[in-house]
Amino acid sequence: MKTSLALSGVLSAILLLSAPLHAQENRYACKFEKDIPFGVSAWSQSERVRKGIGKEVRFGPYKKGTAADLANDALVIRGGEASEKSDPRETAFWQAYDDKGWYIYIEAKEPQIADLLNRLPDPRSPGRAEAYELFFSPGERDVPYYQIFINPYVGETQYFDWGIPSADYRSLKTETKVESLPLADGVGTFVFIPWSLIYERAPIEGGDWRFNLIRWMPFSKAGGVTWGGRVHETGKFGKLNFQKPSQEQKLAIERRLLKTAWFKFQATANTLREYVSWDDAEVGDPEFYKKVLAPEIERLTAMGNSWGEPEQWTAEQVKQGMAHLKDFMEFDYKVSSLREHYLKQKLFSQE
Amino acid sequence: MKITHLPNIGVTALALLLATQARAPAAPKPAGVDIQIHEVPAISSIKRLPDQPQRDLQGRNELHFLAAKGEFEPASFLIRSNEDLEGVELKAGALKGRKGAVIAAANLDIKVVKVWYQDGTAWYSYFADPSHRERVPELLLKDETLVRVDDARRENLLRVGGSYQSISYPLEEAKEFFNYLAEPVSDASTLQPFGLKAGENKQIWVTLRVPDDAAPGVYTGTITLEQQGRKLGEVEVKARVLPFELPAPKTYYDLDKKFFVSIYQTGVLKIADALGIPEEEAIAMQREVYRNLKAHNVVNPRSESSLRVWFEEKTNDPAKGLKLLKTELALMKEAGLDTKPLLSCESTYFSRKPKAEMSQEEFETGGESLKARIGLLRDTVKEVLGHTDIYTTAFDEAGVSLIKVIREQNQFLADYPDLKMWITTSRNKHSNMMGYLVDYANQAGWPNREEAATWHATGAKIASYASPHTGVENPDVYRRWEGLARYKANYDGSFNYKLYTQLHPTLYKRQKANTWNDSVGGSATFRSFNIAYPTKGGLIDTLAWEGFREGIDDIRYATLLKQRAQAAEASGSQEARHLGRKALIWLETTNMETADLNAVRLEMINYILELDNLLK
Repeated sequence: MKTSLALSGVLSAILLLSAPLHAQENRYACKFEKDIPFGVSAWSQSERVRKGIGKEVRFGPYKKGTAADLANDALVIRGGEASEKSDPRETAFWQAYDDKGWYIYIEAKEPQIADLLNRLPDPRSPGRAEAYELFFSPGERDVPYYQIFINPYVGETQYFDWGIPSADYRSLKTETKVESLPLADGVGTFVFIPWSLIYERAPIEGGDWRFNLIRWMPFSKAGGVTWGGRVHETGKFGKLNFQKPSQEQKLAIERRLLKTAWFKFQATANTLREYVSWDDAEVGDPEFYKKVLAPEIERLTAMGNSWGEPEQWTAEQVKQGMAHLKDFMEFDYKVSSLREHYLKQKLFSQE
Repeated sequence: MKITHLPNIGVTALALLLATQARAPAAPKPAGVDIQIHEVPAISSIKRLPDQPQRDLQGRNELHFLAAKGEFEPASFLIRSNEDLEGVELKAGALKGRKGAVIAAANLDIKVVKVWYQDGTAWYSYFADPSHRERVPELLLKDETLVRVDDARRENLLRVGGSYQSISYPLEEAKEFFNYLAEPVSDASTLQPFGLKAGENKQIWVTLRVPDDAAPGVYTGTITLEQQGRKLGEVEVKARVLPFELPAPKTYYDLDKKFFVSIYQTGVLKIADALGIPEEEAIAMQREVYRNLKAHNVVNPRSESSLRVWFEEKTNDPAKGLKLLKTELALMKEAGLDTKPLLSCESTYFSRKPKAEMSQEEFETGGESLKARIGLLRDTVKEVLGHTDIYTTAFDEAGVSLIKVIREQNQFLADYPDLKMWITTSRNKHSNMMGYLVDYANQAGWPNREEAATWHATGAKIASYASPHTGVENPDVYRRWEGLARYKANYDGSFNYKLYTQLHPTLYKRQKANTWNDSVGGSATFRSFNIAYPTKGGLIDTLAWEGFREGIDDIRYATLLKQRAQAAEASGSQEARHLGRKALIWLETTNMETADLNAVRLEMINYILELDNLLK
């Protein structure tokens, strides 16, 4: 009896100790930094990568027996299960952010790199299906999520934007940079996402995002490794903690966003005047232009001009401008909305 | 009101009394109750949760419809009260136009948008995260109490007969499958009183069915909000009936080619037979499914009765298989669906084995059986539908070895040169190895013009599925991707997977699924692929299903615009020709993957009306 009690006590202690470990999720601190390297060459040769500063390697095997089920996913081809003989391969990432956007560098070791590269021209080579699957949701609840599928050895990237393009959501494929480079012992991949694509959720107050990187290794039959959870399992992804920027850094992010928005607005407005030509009697609708569009363009232009030169904007002006960020950033959708309202009135006033 | 309890008065007096009562204004709104009613765009990517502010509120106490004759058109509004209220009712009046024109109140179908819990990533993806649940608007209900939501446990309960059952649980905990064809689950036939929580939005969904013969013009009416006879608010309804009907959708690249609108798993009869559902009940359910499909523009559903399983599995009765096929075809015809050509689930193989693994005799015998079966299918279709324009199919998502089997066994169909084949495929998968056999490729993934060009090179058609699968609650997803984005990619149809998650006709005994439960289990992290939910009496509509209908309606408007431009080209009027071309350039250069589709719809209507004026 004593023995079994003692044994059960030990087992309970093990369970108590192991439970939090099991439930523990990965966290990574993403810091605002100056002079972040840009591009895969710059990152692969950077001091932080050479010295392993900020390196994240806590990947676990993709749940055995589940990778095969992913064959039912008609959208992408993944690597399948690990064979019994496969050796683990190191997968690592680094992340940082600045006023321009969010930087991710991934480095994947591959002992058979020479053989993999030699066989790459064969369209059936599993090396072509080597892949990273990058997921993130910018927040923890009621936020959209994004999936980027990268085949680093063939330089292909697929974007699965799980939202619908609108004034509140835009595809990553328009401005995201992804580039990969074979290295002596693997492959390096650089990803950059500008804040202008996800500006509503830029971490100007810091905060946690959900993030996962899954690596598929069909060439070596090494299966997959994950930083947290299965594909699309946003609640089990790791947490990316954007460390709160200083006031100065926050202002830099906002200033850049507002500048982007201001110049984007001017470009859209100029296009509407000179190319789409709403005021052109032949191909436009001068009445709509005169009554609805021109006053709105004038209003927003006057607002932007009142702040003076963008390089000289004060903190107070940036603060004021941020309240109108969407008006400037999404002026094309604003035009659609104005047009819809105008046509609705017109169509209900005629029989 | 029971008329038998009225005093004995004349018919005229009774009618007068009833009319007076109908016109009698409701008692005034109770003091202190503040009701805010705002129109919102019906089809939108904005997830309208009760406690979240909405930044796209439109007119106050207004509701607008702009629709063609015969069209179903949705509109929506939010109600917000400063107090908890129970027993709130909405009552629609008739819509009145000029010169005595009337659209009956019955043509306004009012439902409550039910917000419930679905697995993580709801609203965005058909992949689910079973580790947590999120609130999401989805169901359109006449009686919102059909589903109860437990916020503390973040789970849903479905009313089955007189009690509620949890429909939020891991599949591993299920003991048996849920028989949606027999269980007493049903929505009300009319809008039931509902509750309002102080400070929360309640979304109301109104679908106007414009009569085919409605006179064009602007109609007005009201929907009143009442509680126990007290008027709480009023919505002014304005509907403009356009002076045309919408044509059937045609492809963007060729106005003479049909744009097929199909969806998987619309059949009821076979699973109902397997489950022992009485024949008349199965037929009633199938009839209701077809009615609903037609109302949502799905006019080319598959015939899902395959003779193969009845003829080649010894336990089955061929006569029964043939009877089910005939019944199904007759019901499709009765529902007014477009059955020419017929997309059939009949498979053009007799074995999964390659020829090399069969004796010559086995191969020849199997081939003759295949030939006879396809002959019987053709004869049956000819008998019921009067034609033999049929697309049959083969293995689902066939790999290389099965592609070779299809090719080998296809030789037995040489006597049927008009027989066509549709298949499921993925990018670059089948076009090189068996493209010469394929007439309609249903290809996984998002549409694009390069894929269309590959299949069009041989005259074959292309549709797609999994772009995305059903299950996503956001109506704008299906409006866009089943609608103009697909159409502009030169695709020939919509062919998605699937109407709802059905029990498998032969494997159901091993299944433990409940189609109402979003957690389907397994490790591929899919959610339940439902764009409508099945009940014994028919389908429960969803926001996504309404989005689907609007997507196809967008294509029908685009088809009409192209038809008008074509007429303008032939009209001899320079002004009309130029306007038609301007419209075509606008249609071509507008990016339907990103455009505001509500604005696009109005622009199409505006062009059509202006062209009509010039073509008079």
